Amino acid sequence: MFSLQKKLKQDAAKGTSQPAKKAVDLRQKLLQKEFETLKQLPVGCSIHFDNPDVLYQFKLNLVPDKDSLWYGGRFEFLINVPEGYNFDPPKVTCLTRVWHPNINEKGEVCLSILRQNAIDSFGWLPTRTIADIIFGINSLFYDLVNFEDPLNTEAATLFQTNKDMFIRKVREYISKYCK
Amino acid sequence: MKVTIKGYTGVAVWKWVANDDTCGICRMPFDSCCNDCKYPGDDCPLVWGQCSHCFHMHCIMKWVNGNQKSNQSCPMCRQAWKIKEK
Ligand SMILES: [Zn+2]
Ligand SMILES: [Zn+2]
Ligand SMILES: [Zn+2]
Repeated sequence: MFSLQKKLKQDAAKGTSQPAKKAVDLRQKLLQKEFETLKQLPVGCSIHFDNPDVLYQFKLNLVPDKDSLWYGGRFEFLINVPEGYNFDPPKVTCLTRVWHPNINEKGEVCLSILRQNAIDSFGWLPTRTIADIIFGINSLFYDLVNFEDPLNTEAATLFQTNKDMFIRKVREYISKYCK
Repeated sequence: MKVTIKGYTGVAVWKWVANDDTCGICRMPFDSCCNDCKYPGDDCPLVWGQCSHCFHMHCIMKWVNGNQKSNQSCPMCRQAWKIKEK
């Protein structure tokens, strides 16, 4: 009869060979499958590959609509999928300078599902997909703007103390940095 | 213009991957084996958690054991992962 405990021990003893190459193949395989089945992106979002053979690095273009405080802007994000995907979360950088409580001036993005070590329960999971990330980034420009745990404290404080000034600053950044 | 301030709670509810026939971790169908194995069946068994979610044994073990990030929880529902013994 098949014994689970025995099987676990056997497997632990076996170990794995050439893990690095395997991880890369696996990432490629997972991404291929994901992009093939990726049907719908949020309105105003599009993705671009600099090199169509390199699936693990791509850009997201985001053009928020009228419901967004960032309406009129166009924001570019770089998404890097690490070798350890889907156990490790992709890394997201905002390439466009933006005045946003959850994106700092270095382009770091604070989105809970991208966190590897989530103390709370909303961090990365292997069941999450690239689509989840794109929807997550997109919602940072709508209802997921988080003023309570900001990355750009100055922006968050300004929003709470002087909303008009905050919006003016958002516009100023858009006209300066969005093409 | 109105901005609704929300916590992080909204993030988790977009969708649950319907995984009746696919392992949510390696995303292979349950009648195939996980990515580390060559043959489905006894060599690559399926396990059910007490939360009733199912995975390839290899996949869920890799997640809960090899991974401090996992908090030892089911990647579908985040309940503590405990194998349901049959
Ligand atoms: Zn699996
Ligand atoms: Zn296996
Ligand atoms: Zn579960």
